Amino acid sequence: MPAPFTLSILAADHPFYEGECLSLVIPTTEGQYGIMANHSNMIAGIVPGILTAVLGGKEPGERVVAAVTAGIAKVEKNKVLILVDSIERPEEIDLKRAEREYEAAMKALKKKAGEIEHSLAEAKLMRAVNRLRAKKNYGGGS
Amino acid sequence: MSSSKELRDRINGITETKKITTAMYLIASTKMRRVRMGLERTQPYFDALRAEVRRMFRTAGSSDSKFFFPDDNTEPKNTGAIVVTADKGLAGGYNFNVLKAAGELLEKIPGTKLYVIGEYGRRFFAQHGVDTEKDFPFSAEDPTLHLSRDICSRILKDFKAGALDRVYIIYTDPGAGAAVRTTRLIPFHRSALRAEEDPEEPVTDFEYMPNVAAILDNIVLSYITGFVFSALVDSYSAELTARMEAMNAANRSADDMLAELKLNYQRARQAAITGEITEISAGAKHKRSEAK
Repeated sequence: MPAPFTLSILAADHPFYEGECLSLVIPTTEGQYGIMANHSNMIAGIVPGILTAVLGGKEPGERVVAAVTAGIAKVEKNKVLILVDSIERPEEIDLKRAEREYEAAMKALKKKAGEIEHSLAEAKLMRAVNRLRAKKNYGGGS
Repeated sequence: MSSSKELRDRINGITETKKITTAMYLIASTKMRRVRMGLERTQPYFDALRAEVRRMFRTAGSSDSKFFFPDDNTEPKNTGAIVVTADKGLAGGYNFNVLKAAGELLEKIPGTKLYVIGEYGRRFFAQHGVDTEKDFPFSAEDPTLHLSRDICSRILKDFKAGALDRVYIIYTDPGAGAAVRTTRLIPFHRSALRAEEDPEEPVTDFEYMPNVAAILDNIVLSYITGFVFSALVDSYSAELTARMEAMNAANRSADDMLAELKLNYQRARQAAITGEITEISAGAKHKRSEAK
């Protein structure tokens, strides 16, 4: 079993997780990035994507998968801090709503509005795609 | 007789008004509790984010990022200000103080573009012929994180398009004396961030992936969203506090008026009864003397 490290995940509207973790994979600006115990100190930007963590604690080996949006990750002296705008477990994602959002974002993109509207719609599309992916690949209930 | 009827009508009227002000007081205090709870849930995230952003500013050398105040201190040309007012009046001096601060800013920096939150402020500026940003339909009622993010995306849109170089936010601090604060939102000033630096904090070297500027650009929306959200919640609780105080004062003066009116009413009633008794007894006396 790998050595544990401390992980705290804070979403904008609630603290998500605080405790031991064995390994962690986060979506950064440079691609999926894995972190294990005794990682060197670093700060990275998080982009919308899927976060996977293998938790430690009382029942080691529990796997947590969640869809995250933009934020930052910090590793400092074996403590990992994840700050994201929102984080959702697949079972919390409403498939119908995610699909609707996907359609709406696609429509907005096709309208060929100004540059800023375009980038806003693009960001929205990314979030929607990310939600759908988390839901479809990792399921979790209905 | 007419005077006692008038008094009774007046007493009924004041009692009804007092019912309304009492209800408004209760509503304001309940809302206040809910809003505070929302802020407490988000506080850890924004505190941590602020600390990290501050650290990055410290380590970052000179940067070309738009969000940094230029090092040569050139005066920005296009200024904008978010003005947080209430949707409704009846909150003591709350709205007036905010609008006064906005007026002062306008005098100091003419041509400031106003982004007004809250119906009261929008009406005020419309009446006084001051131009405000039209496409900014945000309410001050029940601030949410989602709403703050919408507001910030809108501001950043103008900022990135170059229509704004500098953005202030005018809000009310519910703390001591409900002071109105005018704070610069963007760009960040490095020296201002440095001033709050904690000298005790050990300095650790970090590896930045890919680099500080890219990470900052990635989270700038979250950062100012956090700031705007807490400003909105602060303002909203200040508004509710002001309304609670105003309603409390209204209740008190209603009580005073009622006490006085009731006394007058009783006096008038007593006077009427005494008058009637006098009339009857005088009449009876007359009858008796006639019968003799």
